Amino acid sequence: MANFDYSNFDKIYETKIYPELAPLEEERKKLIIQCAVAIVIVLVLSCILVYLSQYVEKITKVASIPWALAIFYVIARVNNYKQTIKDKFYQKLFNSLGFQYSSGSSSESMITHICRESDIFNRYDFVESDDKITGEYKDLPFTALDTYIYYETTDSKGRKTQHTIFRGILLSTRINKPLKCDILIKEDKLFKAGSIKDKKVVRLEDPEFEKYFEVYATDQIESRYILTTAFMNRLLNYRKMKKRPVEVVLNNNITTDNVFFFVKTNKDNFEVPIFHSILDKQIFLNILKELTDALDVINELKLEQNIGL
Amino acid sequence: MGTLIVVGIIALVICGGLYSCYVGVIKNRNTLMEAKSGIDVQFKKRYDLIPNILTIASKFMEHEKEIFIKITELRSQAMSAPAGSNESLELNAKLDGILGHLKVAMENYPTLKSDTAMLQAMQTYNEVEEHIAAARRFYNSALTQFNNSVMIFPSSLFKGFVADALGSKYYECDESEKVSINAGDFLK
Repeated sequence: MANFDYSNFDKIYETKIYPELAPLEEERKKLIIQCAVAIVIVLVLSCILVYLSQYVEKITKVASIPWALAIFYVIARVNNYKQTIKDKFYQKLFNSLGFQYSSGSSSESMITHICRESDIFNRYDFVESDDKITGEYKDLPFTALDTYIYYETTDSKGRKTQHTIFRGILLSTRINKPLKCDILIKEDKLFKAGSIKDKKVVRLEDPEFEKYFEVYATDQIESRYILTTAFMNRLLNYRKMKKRPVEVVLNNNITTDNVFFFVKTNKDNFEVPIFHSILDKQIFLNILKELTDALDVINELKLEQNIGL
Repeated sequence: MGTLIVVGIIALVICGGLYSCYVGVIKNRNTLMEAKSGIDVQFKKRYDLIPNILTIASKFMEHEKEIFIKITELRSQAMSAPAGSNESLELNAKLDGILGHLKVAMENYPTLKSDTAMLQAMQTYNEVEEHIAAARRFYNSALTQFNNSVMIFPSSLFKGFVADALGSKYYECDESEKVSINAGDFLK
């Protein structure tokens, strides 16, 4: 595991973050009370509506409206609060490790482009990203994007359901080894495809690696040139160490980067919890750790090295 | 009439199954051939590179003529062996071994190791070696698939159609490559 130097974080937290947190902690407490009051009001209103439904027909049809308004109100307030914290502190926070923070929404088209060109997902309708961190790690430029990819289905009654395809961190960077083919490393599925468009399945000799991953590539030899036994071992170690599914795209023709890691976390990353005091230093440290956990893949796979990849 | 239809359906299913086995065997045979030719392409790159390395090395390594002669002989034999044949694989495995000895011998010539032309040649050589290793892994994997298909019933019924590929051997490294390396040689 990579050892990141958090000493700069301590300094920045003490001098630039902590002094400004007190008013936000007050705002957080107020927010929780306001949201609780809104829910109580809606609860009382619902009880009244249920009571009235004995006397007035069709009133049950409007019973859900107060709930919808309350949920909308709570989500909007919480998001607003989180955004304020991001705007005020995240740039300073990530600067402590030498990285830059910005909103990820401008990268949504790029993520769509990566998904489309790499064929990593069979189906996706929507791509969302709200955080973007860029920088250099081990002399390799990287971009980490908090990413949510999903598709929607509509049933016979017109109700829409969201199906999550991917929720986690998309890390894009470069490898220093010449890459002359497109490779897709997917988590192993029950029903394997023989090929994905122009990429054929690559059967590798490590049975444990094969148990976790299935590989597709446009060239059998070039893909094995990249996926050496050492590379397979390291990817497997990372997968086991983090206990998180990770899928990899190696492709020269998508962006200036040529390797993309889809690290599944199944949560909205880089967010402050609402039911925990913002004065707790650990909250900010955890946000940094979410990033460094993903960056560990660069370290574990020794991507900065040419030989022995 | 009903019985005839049932028999017809069963016959169709059996024929379909057998046909897919046949297709599988042929596909595996073709993949094996592709893998074999893949190795040859990489070997060709190495054959082209060896004279350059020997020319540069011979300027510095006057006492290693024996190794140069052996490498040159093996290279010519390997080049004249039929592409994709077991003979070609065996000769190239021997070539691997002797080239390994050359690399170890080079450690005794610091001026050669720091020569720019040699550094470039060795970088290219390492890349070619990695590609050869990758091609061999593809070949071994393709051979396993092929062997499974011609040994397991019912696809084994069709092994007569792929007789030309039967008897292909797995790539195994040369005995000389299995000799353990003496770390002391590198730490002098």
